[in-house]
Amino acid sequence: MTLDGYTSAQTRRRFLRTTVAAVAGATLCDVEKLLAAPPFVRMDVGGMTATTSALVSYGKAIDAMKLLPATNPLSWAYQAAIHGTTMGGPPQPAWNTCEHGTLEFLSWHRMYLYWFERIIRKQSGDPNFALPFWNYESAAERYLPPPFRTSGTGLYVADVNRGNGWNAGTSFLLSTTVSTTGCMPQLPFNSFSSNLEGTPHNVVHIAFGSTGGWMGSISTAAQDPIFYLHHCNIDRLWNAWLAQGGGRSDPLSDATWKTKKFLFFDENGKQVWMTGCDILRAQEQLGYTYEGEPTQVKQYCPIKLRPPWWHGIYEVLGPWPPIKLPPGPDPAPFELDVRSLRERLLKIAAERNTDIVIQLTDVMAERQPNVYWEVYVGLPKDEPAAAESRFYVGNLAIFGAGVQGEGHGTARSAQFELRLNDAVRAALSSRDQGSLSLRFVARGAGMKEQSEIRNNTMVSVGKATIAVRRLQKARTP
Amino acid sequence: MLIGVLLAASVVGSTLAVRIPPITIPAQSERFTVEVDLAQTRPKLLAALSDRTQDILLDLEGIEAECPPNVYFELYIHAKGADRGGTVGNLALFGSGIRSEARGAFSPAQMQIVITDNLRDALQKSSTITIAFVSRGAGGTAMTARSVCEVRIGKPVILITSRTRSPTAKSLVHSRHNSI
Repeated sequence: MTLDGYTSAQTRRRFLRTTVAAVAGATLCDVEKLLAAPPFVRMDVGGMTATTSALVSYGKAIDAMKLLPATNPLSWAYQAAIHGTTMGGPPQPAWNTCEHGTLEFLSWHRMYLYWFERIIRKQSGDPNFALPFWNYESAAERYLPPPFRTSGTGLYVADVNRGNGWNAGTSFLLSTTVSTTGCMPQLPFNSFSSNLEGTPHNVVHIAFGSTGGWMGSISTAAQDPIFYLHHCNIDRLWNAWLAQGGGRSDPLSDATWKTKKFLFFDENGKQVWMTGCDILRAQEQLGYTYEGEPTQVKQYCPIKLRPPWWHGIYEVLGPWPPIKLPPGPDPAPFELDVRSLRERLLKIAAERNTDIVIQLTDVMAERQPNVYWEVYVGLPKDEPAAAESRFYVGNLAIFGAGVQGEGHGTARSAQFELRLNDAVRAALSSRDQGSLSLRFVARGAGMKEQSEIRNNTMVSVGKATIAVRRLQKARTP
Repeated sequence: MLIGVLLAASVVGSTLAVRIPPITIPAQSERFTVEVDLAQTRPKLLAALSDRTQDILLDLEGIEAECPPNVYFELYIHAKGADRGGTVGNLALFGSGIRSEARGAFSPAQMQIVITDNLRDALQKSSTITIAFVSRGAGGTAMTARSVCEVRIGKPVILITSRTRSPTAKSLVHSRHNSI
């Protein structure tokens, strides 16, 4: 079987999968599953030699790409210029589009690496090629990997452009350069991303720049083949951060992060566009993993399951008692008498296109809470609060909106709506159940003992109501 | 979105503890130190330092340089006259904050470093602390470690904020090399 130079059935499936993903982004994950194939594994360069096939293929592709004119999107110069360039002449599509100092720093570079890797795969003729990563946090890998120091290969860059001492093996990365102790404990994505971008990302670049290397400037950095191994490591650290759990998440509530389109080129030189939603799951969407990494966390952009001309009609059933979450231990459950509503709630919970919801509006914290709350409805007193429980209905997580800032102008309150159908069904299944409890359980970092977790601020819920949400077709789309 | 904007979002709910005058790290400096008198805010800071739900941040806004400095700076927080202890983090400009590399409108860089533990140690010895910026480049004999351009920090402040980090982070070194 031959498909564009790719010969094995496995590779054909990979090719199809990644091509489908390229054309359709994240929306065809079912198709991807049908075309399931082993992922490409990006390996630690520390275990490689000059004869390792990945590095041989990488060097071969670079040599081939350098023969192409700079106006060809598959050329080495063009690919580097997508990150940054000082080349004269008319600017070409996608040149100088790298993201630094922004929320898209990690996502843009993941996209860049993905398309670059496909181009290398094609240019090298190695259908199994995967970019290696430079694991410089390991004390054994602080020097430039030896295969990159050997002249006469595509991986080599002369001292004048790489910087003094790297090829000679006398320059190395300091331990403070490669430390991840600042970024990895961070819980909010923006704190993690900005810390990671500073150290080790910026600092590794500057270490080369301090000796006069291309890597020290955004306009020249991507001309050095080691650049892509450095960024694979940054990309790997993103996965590793997510895998620590504890509330870590990609910025899925940021519309710009999810939908902003970036331009790249596929291995055939055709323009392709990608968004943050297209690159959330490296293995599932892009077909790669990293050697030795923990199981990748799967995150998803919310999918509109119904056409947009459906909208919700609300019927308020009644108010919940006033809710306040004071500093300190979790408050006692808030009880709602549902004796008069019991039969109706059970009937509604079984209806199609109808949900029972709790609406929490005018939610305001006196300052940024150090916890989020898991919300449980109808949780029996003798049952532990666990997110796997039928009584778990979602999280109350306040960040930005809903925080009474100091000196940040008028604060906006937050609002939440949580679907209760399953919890209501489970809670009211017992005939003598006449009330529904609403319980808030504070959670923090995953590694912290639950008993140590204490809310640090007063949070008040201006209005809590239980309501019915019926989805109906609007008259006009 | 600029890093200043995204970092601002992460400190909603923080309290300004100390304003520090603008800092200019001269070109060619290997080590540059500023003193900060915390006598007035020491009680407030000590109260925050005793609260395990809070962190103290060194927030550096308005960082800029005319050209790539070609060094990064290790930052140290010490009590005045007692310059022992590890670095609190790095100040490293790459892309953002460098005027000669700006694409379109220039925007300065911003960074935040958690200084809770180092500040606690320093305040036990003195109410005046020093912030040291030590130039670093590559390790080895080829290291220059002198900034090519001066680096200006327009708005350095110390903030008290809710802790949004976990107590420990897992090792990220690949298991094959853990023994090295």
